[in-house]
Amino acid sequence: MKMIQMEGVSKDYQVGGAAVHALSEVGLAIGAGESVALLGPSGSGKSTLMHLIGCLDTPSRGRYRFEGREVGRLDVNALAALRCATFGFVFQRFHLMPRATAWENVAMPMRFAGVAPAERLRRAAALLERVGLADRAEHRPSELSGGQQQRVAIARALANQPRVILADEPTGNLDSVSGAEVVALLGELHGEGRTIVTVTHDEAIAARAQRVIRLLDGRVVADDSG
Amino acid sequence: MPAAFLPPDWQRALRAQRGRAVSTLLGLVWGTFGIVAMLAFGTGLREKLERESDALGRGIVIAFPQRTSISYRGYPAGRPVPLRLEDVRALPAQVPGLEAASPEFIRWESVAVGDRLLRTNVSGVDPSFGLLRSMPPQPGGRFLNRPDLDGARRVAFLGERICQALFDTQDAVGRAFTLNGAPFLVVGVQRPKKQMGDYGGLDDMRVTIPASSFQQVFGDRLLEDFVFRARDGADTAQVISAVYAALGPRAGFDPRDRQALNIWDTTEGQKIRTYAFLAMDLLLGSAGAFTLLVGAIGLGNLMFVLVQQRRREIGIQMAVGARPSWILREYLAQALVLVLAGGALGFLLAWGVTEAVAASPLVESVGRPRVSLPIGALTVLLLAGAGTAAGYFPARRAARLDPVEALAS
Ligand SMILES: Nc1ncnc2c1ncn2[C@@H]1O[C@H](COP(=O)(O)OP(=O)(O)OP(=O)(O)O)[C@@H](O)[C@H]1O
Ligand SMILES: [Mg+2]
Repeated sequence: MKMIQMEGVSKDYQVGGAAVHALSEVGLAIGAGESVALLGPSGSGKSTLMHLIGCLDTPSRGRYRFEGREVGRLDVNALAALRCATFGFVFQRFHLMPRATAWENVAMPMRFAGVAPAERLRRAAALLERVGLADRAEHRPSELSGGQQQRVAIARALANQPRVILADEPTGNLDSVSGAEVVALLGELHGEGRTIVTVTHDEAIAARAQRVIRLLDGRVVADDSG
Repeated sequence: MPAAFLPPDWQRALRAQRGRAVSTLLGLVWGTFGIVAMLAFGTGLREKLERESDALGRGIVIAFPQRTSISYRGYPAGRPVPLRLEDVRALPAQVPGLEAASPEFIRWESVAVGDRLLRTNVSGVDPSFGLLRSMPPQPGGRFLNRPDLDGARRVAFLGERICQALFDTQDAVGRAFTLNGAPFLVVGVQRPKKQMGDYGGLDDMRVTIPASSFQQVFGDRLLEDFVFRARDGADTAQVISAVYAALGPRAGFDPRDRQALNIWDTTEGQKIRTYAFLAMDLLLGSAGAFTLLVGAIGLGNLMFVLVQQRRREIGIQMAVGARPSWILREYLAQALVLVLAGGALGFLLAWGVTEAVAASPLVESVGRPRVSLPIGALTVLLLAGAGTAAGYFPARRAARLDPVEALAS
């Protein structure tokens, strides 16, 4: 059985009485260590699918099993614990805590994993070093460029040694140079054996993944490896 | 200051809401101050009144013989009740609930030292009178005792003001004066006391001598009154009834004839005071609690605004693994920190004011305000309650946010 296993997964939203089908009958299996790109036009359901994979949201219908566990049966606290230990998120809009410094942002998830304060500081420093921002540790997000913010976000995603990295258009708000740096970082993480799922519009970025899953109107329309 | 206990990003969030945070904190400070200060002043006033009324005698009953209102054993109604020393001295044996009783003669007489002549109240009593009527001696002196009574000694216990007036000093033990021409020796001077309520003059102007000596000097047979106290735990009203039952046959009145004795039961005054102060505490306490309630509503409002503003941040925290229960606890804790900060400031302020009043001449009229343990405990309880109530709903709202939606805001 694959690490990520979805069968007939749908997600509906109620908008003013009418149901919007964000995802319809998605079947999907992603193995540990794969690198996958989710490709599709705006509104096709890429972000929705990524949120479901990352247990940030639960399906309206269908079954999602992560490492054999039925996600739909977990309560909110169990879902949070699963996210904390397993998934690292990277968002298009960075989503850093605006009032916290770079290292506080990186250390935050460790707190939820019960890491001791001194160890948090040590690990956060090491992670910032790794993304090349050791000298920006005391900066707030507003004092960092977009590319730097996204690298802080990647460092934060790595805080609890997650097995899966989920990146939703990580280069969407970046210039091409910063974007290339971020893509290179994600490539390194895959090289370490982590599972990487990248949502993108960009065929060039998708081409670097081992496997490309194409979505259209909430359905998987193509799934090709290499 | 209080914000120093909060995590750094909270301090920054509060700073962004400075106006609201300051007014919330002020409300909490003011509410706490109100409760603590008002109750402290109530305590001080109560203690002062209790001390002053205890100066007459704690929990005593004073009984004055009157006229009968019911005919008894052939005597018509309207006969004066004759009460003698032996009648009162027989009481302890007849009334089990009685702690002690003392007869009292009273006369308005002249006392003299050399050519200094004064008129004042003179009481003839038994030794138990001193304890019953709270008349402690100053160091170096004593109250009247049994040998004084048995030997009908010419000794006296003086109130501190009459002592000063006669001898120009408080140090009068061993000095002599004349009473109705008879020489008397001072054996004790009363410790200064502030007395609320009296009969036949204040104790600080009283000359107290043994009942036996009183009879020898003045020839009196009939008592002015007698003083007694029920034992701890005994019901004063029942003891009074037993006193009627015991005295009636001896003094010739029907035990059911309540008019035969004029009874001053000071425990009734104590009861009334207790209820009056309870009512006052409730009034003041609820006024303070209401202020605190307003403060708590302000706090709830502040918390809602903070949660609303931090939706996206809460979404981020949830995305990286914060459990909803953690979010709930976190926001509740912040509300409590704010409440306790406001409460601590209000408490300090109230404490400062009570100390300032305690050190000022105001003490004479309002008593010494005191922040007691129950007041402190009540305040802490109210604050914790207010903080929990004000913090819970905003915190629950934060904990129930949907992470995906919160991130999108
Ligand atoms: N909270 C929501 N409420 C209502 N409709 C929603 C909600 N979230 C998503 N949708 C709808 O679901 C569909 C899929 O949205 P989703 O965000 O997954 O698309 P996407 O592929 O990520 O698009 P984009 O490339 O623009 O980010 C869209 O039609 C969107 O309007
Ligand atoms: Mg999207």
